[in-house]
Amino acid sequence: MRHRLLALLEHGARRLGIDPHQYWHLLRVSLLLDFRRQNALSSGQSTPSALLTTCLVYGIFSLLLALFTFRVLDLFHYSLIFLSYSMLMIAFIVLSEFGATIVSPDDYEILGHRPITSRTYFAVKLSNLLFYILMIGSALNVFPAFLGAFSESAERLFPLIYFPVALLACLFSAMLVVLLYGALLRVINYEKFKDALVYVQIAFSFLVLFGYQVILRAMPYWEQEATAGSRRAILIMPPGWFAGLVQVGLGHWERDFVLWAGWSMLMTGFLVGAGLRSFSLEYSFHLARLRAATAERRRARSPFRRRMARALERLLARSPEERAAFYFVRRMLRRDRTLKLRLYPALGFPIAFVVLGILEKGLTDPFLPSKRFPSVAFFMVLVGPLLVLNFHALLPYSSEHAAAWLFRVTPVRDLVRFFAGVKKAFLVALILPLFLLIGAALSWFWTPWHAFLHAALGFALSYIFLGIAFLFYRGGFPFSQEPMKMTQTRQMTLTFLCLPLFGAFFFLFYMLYKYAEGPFLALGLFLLLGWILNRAADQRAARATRAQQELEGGVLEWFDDLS
Amino acid sequence: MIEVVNLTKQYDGVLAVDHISFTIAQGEIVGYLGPNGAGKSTTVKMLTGILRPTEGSIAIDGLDLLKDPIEVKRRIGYVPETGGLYESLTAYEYLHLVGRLYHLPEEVLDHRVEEFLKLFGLQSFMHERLSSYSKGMKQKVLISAALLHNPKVLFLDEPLTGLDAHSALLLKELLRRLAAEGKTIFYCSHILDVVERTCTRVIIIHKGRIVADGTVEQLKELTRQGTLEDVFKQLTYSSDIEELAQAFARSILGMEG
Repeated sequence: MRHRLLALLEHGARRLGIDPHQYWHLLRVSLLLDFRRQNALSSGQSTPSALLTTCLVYGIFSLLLALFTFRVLDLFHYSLIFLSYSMLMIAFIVLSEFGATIVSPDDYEILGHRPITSRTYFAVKLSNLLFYILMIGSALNVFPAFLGAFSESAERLFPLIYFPVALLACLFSAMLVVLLYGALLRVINYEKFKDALVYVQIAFSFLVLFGYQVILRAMPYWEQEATAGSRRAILIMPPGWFAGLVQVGLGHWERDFVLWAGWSMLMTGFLVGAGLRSFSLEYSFHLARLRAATAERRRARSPFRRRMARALERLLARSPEERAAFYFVRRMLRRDRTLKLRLYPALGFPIAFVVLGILEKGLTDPFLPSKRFPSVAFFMVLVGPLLVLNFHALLPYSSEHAAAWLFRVTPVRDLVRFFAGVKKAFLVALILPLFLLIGAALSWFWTPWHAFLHAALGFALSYIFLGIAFLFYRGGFPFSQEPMKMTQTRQMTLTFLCLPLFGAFFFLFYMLYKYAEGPFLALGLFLLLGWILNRAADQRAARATRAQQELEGGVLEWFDDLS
Repeated sequence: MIEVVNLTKQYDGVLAVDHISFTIAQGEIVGYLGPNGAGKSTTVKMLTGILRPTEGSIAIDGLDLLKDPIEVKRRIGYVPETGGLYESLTAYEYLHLVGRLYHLPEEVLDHRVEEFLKLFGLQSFMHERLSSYSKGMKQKVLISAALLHNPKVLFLDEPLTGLDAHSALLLKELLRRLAAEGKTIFYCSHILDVVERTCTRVIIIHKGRIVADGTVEQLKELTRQGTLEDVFKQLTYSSDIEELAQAFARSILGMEG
């Protein structure tokens, strides 16, 4: 029986143009490689542990969300919420973590000259991706599926129907992103492709972060539509199609549900088919195009801008080490796509928050008597500390990590000043522009003086956070470690877990703004505290990096002894 | 065995390889020389099916590479200049993966992997990850991977990089033996004296075009030069090397003052 099934699968694979023998060995190796990539010096940050943490955190998030909603919403809206959440998260994870899985020119360097068909290669890549989608998709949906059985309109069959549909929806979402990659590759070269991906990912970050605001505002409308007997507006949203499929699975054969269910199946079939057929047939050709990509030509800076940049460096960075770090980190903040992707969307937040503030009608000037403190203005300020936490999490990693040998051979004597330079570069390149933007955005609603005072407080708060974050720095030179699948998502997720801590700061700001001198006093205190913390953090980061260098030296000596 | 006609590669309007044509017979060892950026690696990548040519045709063992890439790839072995290894795998695992991609029977594969690693002196390291290997050891694994399936044509891009003197001698001798057995070898290198000693024929490429094609003796005669190095200097217009070196030295020593 087992042999017959295997023979059947092999026959099917061959008919699709996939070599089952090669497929199996390549898939096994691709997963083996993912699970083995672990930096000996990065405190066990391997893909398996990162995947496990991410699944755990997503599972807990889903459980909490399910606990809040399962007794409130009917099964249709309950499914809709969780399917939307899962699909968005999956698309986001695929976009941010699996770019190299889907499109990997390095892989092609190793396998390009071997007799592997495009379809076999693509099937391997897709299967690798699906493995992660299945794991994360399960983590996102297992608790909602179970709790759904005890919902308001409880149906015992719900978990059995919902769970596979949710995985199908995750597959749909992932395939959509895969096809987006494919479409982009057809029209542009690799350098532009990578840039385009960053912009797509930035747009997507906004969708994830602010999309829920739209959903929350649209929910009453949908419910109203639903009671009026028409849910057609949901047809435009893919999660709605799959929510319809859940309803059909539960035996609710209403015309709209059947229509959505059919549409969801049709579209998933189309996406998987399109991915496997047209794209995969030309996969190696697209990868060859990637190899053909030439280096980006950049215009040289004008002499005036060069002089200004030098003057800024000399003003802010005192020692050569500090200047070198300042220059290096500023360059990387402008050029490294991962950093751009993870950090720069924050500069759009002030504008997004202003829009939210207008929608909430809550952007009143808190410095004026008898005005309440606008929560939107507080959240704007919190973008700074969030950026700090992200920067701290991303700093050790880069796809250009191999170039870090430079730090091991150059005599970086003053590591304390080196880390001071790293942090100053971040403050100048991101935190300062962010709070200038916040000041400018709030000036539209408040007195400019009040707006910039509020922004200055935010800057000082971020400065404190920068010090605190680097007190926990694990050591290592910037951008010196290989980024591994899921580790960044895990760190970002852990960062979001810190959000409840910000409640304390909200209260602090609320109290400060009650008194006229409060903000000024706080600004002075924050800056002083920030300075002390940052001095201590530089010492700590330097010590940790030195310890890591010694460990590395020890390992190398050990290898030398061995050989 | 290898027939290249009007092969061209253009990147964003820049001609990396400009309408080159040559034929290589079975059993020949052809040295492919050129200065940095001349188009050597681009040519090899096109010949191995990694890059698609903008124009022209490539036939290997009578098969059109563009029409039947999988069959052509079964017949070739390639040692790339850089990269080319999954460093999280061990040498044993990597070579097994490569062998399985060529559908080698397991018992043949086991035997060959162990034998190759033994011949290159890597047997005691075969279960260690490639990331812990030295440059030379990695190069030996790459060479083993290229030879594992007994290809008819071998493409080597700077194969001696990182190899110790003993291994380099071994490889040069191996290439001669393989050529004598009828294998065709396309040898891409910067090291002129190795090419001079190993190759039966030399093709020199400069700015994407072939500027010389013949035996070392023919080229020496043609350019009236004593060594291949002098031939190369003359054909690739880099005879101002002494001046350049002097300017460099002046610049470095100037820093001391």
